[in-house]
Amino acid sequence: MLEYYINDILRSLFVLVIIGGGIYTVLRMNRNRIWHDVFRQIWSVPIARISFGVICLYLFVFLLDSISYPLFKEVNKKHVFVNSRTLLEVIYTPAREESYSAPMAKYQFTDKKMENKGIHPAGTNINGEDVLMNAFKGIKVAFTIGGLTTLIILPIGIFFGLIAGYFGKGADTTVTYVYSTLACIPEILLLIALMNIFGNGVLQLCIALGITSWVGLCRIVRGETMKQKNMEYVQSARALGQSHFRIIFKHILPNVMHIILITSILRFSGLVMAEVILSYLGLGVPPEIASWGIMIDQSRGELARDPMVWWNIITAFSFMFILILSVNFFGDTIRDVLDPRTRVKGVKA
Amino acid sequence: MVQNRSKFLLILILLILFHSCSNNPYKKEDIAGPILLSAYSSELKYVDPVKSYYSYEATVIDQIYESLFQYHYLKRPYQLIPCLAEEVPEPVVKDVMIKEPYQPRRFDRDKNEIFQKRTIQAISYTIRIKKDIYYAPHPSFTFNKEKKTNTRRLKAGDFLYAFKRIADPKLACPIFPVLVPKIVGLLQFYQYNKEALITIQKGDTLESIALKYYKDKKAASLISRLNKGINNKDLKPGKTKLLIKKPTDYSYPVSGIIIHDDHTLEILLKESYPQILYWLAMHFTAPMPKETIAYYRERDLKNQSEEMRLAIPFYLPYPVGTGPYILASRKPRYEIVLKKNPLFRNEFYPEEGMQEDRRKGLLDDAGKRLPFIDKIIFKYNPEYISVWNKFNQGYLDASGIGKEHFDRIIGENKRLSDRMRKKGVRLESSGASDIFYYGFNMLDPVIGGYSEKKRYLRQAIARAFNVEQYKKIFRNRRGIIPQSPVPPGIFGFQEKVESYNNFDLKKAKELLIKAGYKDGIDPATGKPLEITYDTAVSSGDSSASRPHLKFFKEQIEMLGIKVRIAATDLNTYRKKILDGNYQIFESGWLLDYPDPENFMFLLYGPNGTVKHHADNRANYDNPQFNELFEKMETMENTDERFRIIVQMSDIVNRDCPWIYLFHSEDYYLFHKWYQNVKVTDLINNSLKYKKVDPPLRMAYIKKYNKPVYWPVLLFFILLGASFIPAILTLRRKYR
Repeated sequence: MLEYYINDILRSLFVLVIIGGGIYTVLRMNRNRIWHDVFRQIWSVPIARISFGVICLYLFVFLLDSISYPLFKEVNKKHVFVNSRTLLEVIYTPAREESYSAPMAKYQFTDKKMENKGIHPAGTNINGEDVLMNAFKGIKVAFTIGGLTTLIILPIGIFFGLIAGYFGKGADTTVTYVYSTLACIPEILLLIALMNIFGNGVLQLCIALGITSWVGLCRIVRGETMKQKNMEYVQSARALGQSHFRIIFKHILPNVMHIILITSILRFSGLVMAEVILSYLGLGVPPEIASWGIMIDQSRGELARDPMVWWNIITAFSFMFILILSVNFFGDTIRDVLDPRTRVKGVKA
Repeated sequence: MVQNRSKFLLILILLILFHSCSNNPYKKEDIAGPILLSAYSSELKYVDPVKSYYSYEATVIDQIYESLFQYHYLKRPYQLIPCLAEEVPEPVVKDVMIKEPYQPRRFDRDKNEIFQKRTIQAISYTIRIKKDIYYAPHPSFTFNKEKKTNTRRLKAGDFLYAFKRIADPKLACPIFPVLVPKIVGLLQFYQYNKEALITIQKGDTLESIALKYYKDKKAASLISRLNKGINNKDLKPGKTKLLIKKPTDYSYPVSGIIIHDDHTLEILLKESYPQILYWLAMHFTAPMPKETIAYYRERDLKNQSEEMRLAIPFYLPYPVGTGPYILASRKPRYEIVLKKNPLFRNEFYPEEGMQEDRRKGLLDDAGKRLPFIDKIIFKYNPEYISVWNKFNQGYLDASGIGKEHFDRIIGENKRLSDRMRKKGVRLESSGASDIFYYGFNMLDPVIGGYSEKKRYLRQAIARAFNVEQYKKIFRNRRGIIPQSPVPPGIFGFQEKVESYNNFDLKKAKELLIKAGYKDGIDPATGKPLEITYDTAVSSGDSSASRPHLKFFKEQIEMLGIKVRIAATDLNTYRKKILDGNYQIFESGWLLDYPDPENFMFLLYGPNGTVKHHADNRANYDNPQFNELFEKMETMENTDERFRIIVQMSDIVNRDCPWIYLFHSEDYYLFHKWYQNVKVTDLINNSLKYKKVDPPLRMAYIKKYNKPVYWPVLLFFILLGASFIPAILTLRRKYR
């Protein structure tokens, strides 16, 4: 019995630690004068404020859906684990219907009257599940895929980018060769091949996406490192006799950090969309998990139905659209603020 | 000059624009003539009757090939009538002297084979073949003066050749495993031509072996490939055994098929097997002219020796038969066109039918010469929605009804909606002779087995599955819920079976306790019992199958059992099935011929997929059932047979290797100009009976295809409007 609690607690803790870590880092950076200025500049852009609010809302739902506790039932005087229940399910527990029903409708498609009319703000799908709930659950999948993949990409991309950019010559040739080769294979084709090897699953999907998408980050970090390594501060560090390792991680890395931040945020939306495309091809997450890609895939036949079932695709689409739009706006603002070339005049220093 | 040219170009563009201002996918003369406009959704893989196994292929090629028998178009239950044969023969039990070749074969001085003669008792079918039948014109035949074209009269030998092709190991005919134990001599032919192991002699090289067997040195690479890439260095005289594919020797006789003269054929069976006549009504046994095969072998395998040509599988790329139609043109993924066969024999529309056929006007053309339609155009339409739209526009003569539209088109009482009826559309429905089911793998240690407890477990799962709900959600309430494996329309169908495990959750839970899994908890682990549902998810149909999986999972999980869905790609899934590495699967079966044996054999032990690579995917093997099956298999449709079928159904329901889903019920829509249509899922050569009325079609197309201009106008207005901001900005800038 305890093992189930530990299981759930560990899973919840993992998410809490990552999100808490993120908040802590931001707060910590805020103490630094330069970053404090940067945050103030970002905050002064209205669209960024709105986007940030939206992202926080999504994060909140993600958090609710990630914190879970186990449910038991008693059989033969023993407690038997049934499943985990998330906080989201506690707050929002829609009734289960037979089959399709339109948003706020009184009747289902099977002509069965619903017990409580209008309790499904976004209708139900063919299995009678609440579409809004599925869309909420889709947030978890999207953030897991976006976040986990970013965690996979970051070390690979940064490490190889720094190495290649700093040492040049053989190291550079090798790394460039590897990522050029990867970049030559059409991304979707490579993803399909990898998914066929790994099988369906969220973790597998993250790994596959990680393998295909570290190239962009690596390329940018490499370029930036090449630029930085000829700057005076690196040269003076070298003259002082510091080791390569120290130079790379102590001096260059902090100076390419802003680029990594921007790229990761902008890439995040790409990853969320990749999941949708793969699910549409039947290669994404396993069939029983609710994700936006699966909802959109599902609606392929539903749009041709008569009467049309539009709420599945519209709900999934708007959830995805709003998230990606917010992330992109937010990412753009960060770039504008951090990149001296695009720094907008109106933003107060 | 330049000006002239640009003017010319402008006129040309306008002409092209106006010419294509129509949604008509056909040539004008096509829709105006007695031509059938049809659709197909999957590209034909084979047009060779020995290999083609799918019903979508049969709808095309069965118009071209004909077999000895066919089904009566109107009569139900289905009745066999002669097609190429003079009459349907009766089996005769008699002593027959057969001529078998010696092992090894012996020849006299004139190279004539010497046979060993032997008398056996056999079931004999003597079939007389119609005399005046010619093949459709084809360049592979020599010029026939009487018919003034390249053709040939049908001979009994063509049937023998077709049977030899069925038994040809290279061609892997799908019905061979069924026929082989039945027809005398077929197995010998197969074994003689099978792959062979040869022992290496001193001085042999791959090239010399290739030269010896294939008369072609280049075939050495083929031998190497067959033997895991062996090369000359690995050959050890006296020790190494090489696998080679023997060139199929069509001169090897089949002792059980005797040709008395050009128009009489005798088929000998080892045991009573009345279903043989049904097989003789399918395209597998259609007569095959030797010269046509030789013609295409010569054309397509130009650079190879004759032996090589016979050692690799070669399928006919173009169908040639005696049927009412010939293949006029075929463009892959675009269209297939069939034309009337000018040499088609005199065949007439049936004069008898069922009672309601006269009322429906199906007998109006009684006694008229077939076929009625001159040309059939099949257009490639992989998506249902485009079929539906073209049907509504009048560019297709018939359409199924997808479940997307079903509720709008067919009302509560299964009547056609007023909107469609006003258009003159006709609805036909038919209960299909098929069955869909979830099966348990009886070899599985958890879910399989024949002990009481395992039985209760399966029954519990079957009772927890709400089929009625399934039908309501996924099938628009279409279909009949099976209570035994035999579908309606087939002898042995029972509407109500006492032993049927109907949906009853309370009962299911009780059964589960009896099975030793109270509330679904496995006492051995203290955790819920987990069972795996194995399925193949291909990218094409994932959106369709996902809700089904979910539904199944949720239904069964009501018991407290956990269901894991193992979705893999098709190849892995097939391998799993062959290895017996699965617990629950979904499957279906559409009849080959109207006999209960064709459904019960899906549960016959010696047909097990794992052990015998046949169609019994549940690997169900109950000695009692097997015994009854063997008894029932060869019986005529008597009361006794019915009793046995009832008994078998009870055994199946008790052991519960299947959860029944449905016998499907198909609905079709036909335009009023498409006549003589009787819906069936067994008769594939039905297009010759059908008729179209082109003026009616033309009128319909004119009425329902009026161009709508406002979207074009709207588009241009919007396009214009989108310039306004740009113009405004420009103005501001210049001011």
